Amino acid sequence: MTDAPRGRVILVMKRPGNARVLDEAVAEVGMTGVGVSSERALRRALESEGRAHAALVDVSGFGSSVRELCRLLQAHEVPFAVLSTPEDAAAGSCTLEYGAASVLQKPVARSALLALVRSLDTR
Amino acid sequence: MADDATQRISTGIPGLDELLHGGLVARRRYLVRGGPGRGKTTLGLSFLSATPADKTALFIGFQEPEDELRANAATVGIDLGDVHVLSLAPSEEFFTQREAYDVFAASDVEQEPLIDSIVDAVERIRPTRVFVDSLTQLRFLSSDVFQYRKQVLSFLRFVTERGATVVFSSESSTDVPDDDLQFISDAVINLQADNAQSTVTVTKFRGSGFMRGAHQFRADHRGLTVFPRMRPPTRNVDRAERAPLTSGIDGLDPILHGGLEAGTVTLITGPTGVGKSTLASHFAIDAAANGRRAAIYLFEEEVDLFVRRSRALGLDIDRLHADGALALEQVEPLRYLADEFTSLVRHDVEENGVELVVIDSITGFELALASETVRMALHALAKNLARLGISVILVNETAVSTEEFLVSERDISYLSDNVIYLHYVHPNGSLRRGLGVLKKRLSGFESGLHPFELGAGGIRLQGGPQRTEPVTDA
Repeated sequence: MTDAPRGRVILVMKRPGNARVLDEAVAEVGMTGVGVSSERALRRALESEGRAHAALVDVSGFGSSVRELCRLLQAHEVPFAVLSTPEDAAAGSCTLEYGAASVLQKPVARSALLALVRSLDTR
Repeated sequence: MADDATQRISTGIPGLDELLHGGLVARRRYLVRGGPGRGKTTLGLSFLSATPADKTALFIGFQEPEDELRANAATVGIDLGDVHVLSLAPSEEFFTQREAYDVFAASDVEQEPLIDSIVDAVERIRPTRVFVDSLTQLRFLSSDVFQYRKQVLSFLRFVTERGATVVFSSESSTDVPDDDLQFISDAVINLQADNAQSTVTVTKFRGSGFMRGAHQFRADHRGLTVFPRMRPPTRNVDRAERAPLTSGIDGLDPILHGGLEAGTVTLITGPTGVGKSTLASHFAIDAAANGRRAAIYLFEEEVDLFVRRSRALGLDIDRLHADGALALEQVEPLRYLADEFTSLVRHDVEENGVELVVIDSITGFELALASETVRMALHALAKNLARLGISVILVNETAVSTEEFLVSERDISYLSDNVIYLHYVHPNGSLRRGLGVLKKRLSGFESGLHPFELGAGGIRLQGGPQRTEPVTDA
């Protein structure tokens, strides 16, 4: 872990359980998770001190507002990956238009996701 | 200090220890299988509560919080006082704080902290007994079957190598079979139930003998009580060692060529009211009066009524009953399981020295111990008692008839060494009673129907045989 990047990862998701387990996971690779569950909270996180190195967006529960969330991340040049269920596949794939690095179907393998987050952070 | 690996340790359930030929072998792995509510947890808690005071026990559970577990154990008479509890049940916050997740598989999130908790508890407590309730939960945290099997094997080795004996439960079902756990275990204890009975069956015990077959058990406020089915004795008692049982009725014992040989099964059969119970009482009273303990199990009649009726017939029952020479046990409907009843009889025989057992009646036996296995239980009971040299009298009621009769409508005459039939006869238009001997395996007997009266003094034979009835054996 000594060479692990230390950065902030914004966890954009409605479900607290997902934010919790992702926060624990990114902490293992020396990163800090910042959970947000609304557009307003995301704006605050993006405008606060300290650059966000990456973001993970879980589209579940956001509906069409997920487009605005992705647009904000793109505008702040924060690389991000998207998580979706098979039912949310359409919402997930539309995020590619806003620069999503990848769209992953839940549940994802913990190790693969962490590798992806680390690669986003080094961009 | 760990238990010696050759040592037998108690499950906390004496009947189960008996099935296992003395208990569990220390430092091995035992699977308890069964559907919901069968008693797996109670069995495991009994095992833990039987831990000697100088040793430690650990419960690892996935379903109940510790306080709930202790309270539930207390309701079945189990004190978990010194037992350590590692509850891995989800807290209420998991629901109220919406902690459910779907971003990772459960195996990615839960497994590692769970294993850390278990390892920490085992290293800290150093238990000699561990009960895991249940390992099925671990299945849901494994990514595939291979991983699960490997993990279980590894976990069991981890615990046993630290000196513990492990009992673990499995919620077996057709959807989630547990064949893999059965292969891994050193012994498999199955708890089953249907509408009529609950049974325990041991299907595997590496390196040890065990009692095969299904044995009934009771789960109630006293926990689990297992009633091992009576085993045939290792040797037959020489029947000649004991004198025959006599009736004390003038003229009857000579008809039987001296009485009923010890260690035989006698069927007294006949229609209602003809005097079957009274005849059985004669044998029991005579045995008790001659210093040979007898026990009458009353399935139809209450003890009070039986005593009053006996007194009315002038039978000397009070003194013998008070002395303990004659035991009267009223068996209320559904009070006992069939195997439970045989355990009671066996206890009376082995601990109280009973030499004559009277079952009054077979109909009551069947009704009171409602179970599909009653006939099998009756067979096992009678035959095993006989092999122990104990005499058995079975009282059997047949349909009322004055023309012909069946020895038994229940197809049980095969079970009997002796058959005495009582019958109504109607010579010259009057209704009278008659007694005859139909079968006696170990001696000859006087054939023919012997008239008798039922009155003061009980049964009184009247002269020699008068006529022979046609007989139809069912």
